[in-house]
Amino acid sequence: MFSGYNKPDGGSYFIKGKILISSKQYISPLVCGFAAAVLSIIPGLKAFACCLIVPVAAFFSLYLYQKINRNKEVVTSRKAITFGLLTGLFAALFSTSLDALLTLITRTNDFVETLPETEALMRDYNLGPIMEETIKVLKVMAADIKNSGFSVLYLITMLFSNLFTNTIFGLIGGLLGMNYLNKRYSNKN
Amino acid sequence: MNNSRIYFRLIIFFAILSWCAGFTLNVFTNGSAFSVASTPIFNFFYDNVCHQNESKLISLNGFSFLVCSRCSGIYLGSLFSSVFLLISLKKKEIPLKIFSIASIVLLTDVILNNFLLNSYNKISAFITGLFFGSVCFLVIINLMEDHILSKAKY
Repeated sequence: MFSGYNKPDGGSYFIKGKILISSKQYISPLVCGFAAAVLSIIPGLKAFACCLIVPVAAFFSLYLYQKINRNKEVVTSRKAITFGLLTGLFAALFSTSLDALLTLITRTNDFVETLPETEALMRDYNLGPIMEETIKVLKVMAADIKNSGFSVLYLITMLFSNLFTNTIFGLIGGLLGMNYLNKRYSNKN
Repeated sequence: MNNSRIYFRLIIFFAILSWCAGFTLNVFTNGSAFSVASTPIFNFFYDNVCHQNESKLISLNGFSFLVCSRCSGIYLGSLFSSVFLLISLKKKEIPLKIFSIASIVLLTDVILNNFLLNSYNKISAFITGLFFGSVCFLVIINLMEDHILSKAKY
């Protein structure tokens, strides 16, 4: 993980930090992140799995890594956190991409379909000019999606919210996975 | 009990409190102007972690939480545990067996409600979620404290 080396001209040294040793180690978070993204866009499945998809994916990325490398060592918390965060990051990137792709093809999505209800609810409250501006922005986003199937503002909002939630849930899954795998390892020994 | 542990628990508590405030704002403010205005923005976040099926949302005074009963239970369970940890200020070790039991109970409720009985019970979903959320939070916080606070020592 951390490799130190001496400077040829003196006694001082640098600590060179790497998140993971080789690019091969990114494969399991990448695969599990992609799987989580695909599963999260299936409406029927989301109704059952809810917020468990990304944590389970993070756990499986750790498990897969152990299996692929035939690694029988204890999982460190650093590795669990890194794998969890990476799985969440990949899941966020893939789910945003898939959502954008589906929106581009269908030119509609949940946001566009529920906007009239949201707008009606907001108008009931007479919230003043700020509310009008909010509705205007939401309408611009919906109009962009209906016309071209793509809205930059919508994409940025989706990406930000996906990154925020998936990385946190990935981190949780990674830590729980570490706990489970280490307990299993200690029971075997 | 060192200060870094207290600060860490306080940060976690406020983070969970903000998350819970986001999805309960509608209900606890009786649909205030701010909560209605912020709903579309909050929905972007909660939509990622919950199906938000209307028949599965907890409603009070005509207003609903932004996440389903099970998710509400999980997050509120975590909030209760974080309050408990702030009061007790001790390290609570949760055996993996209890976590496994909580997971099995939650999974059984999911299977019973969705596949066998075909009738969603908000109360059982909320209670099993609450149990799972509180246990899960204690497990995670232990692991995080072990990692972060042991690093802080060096």
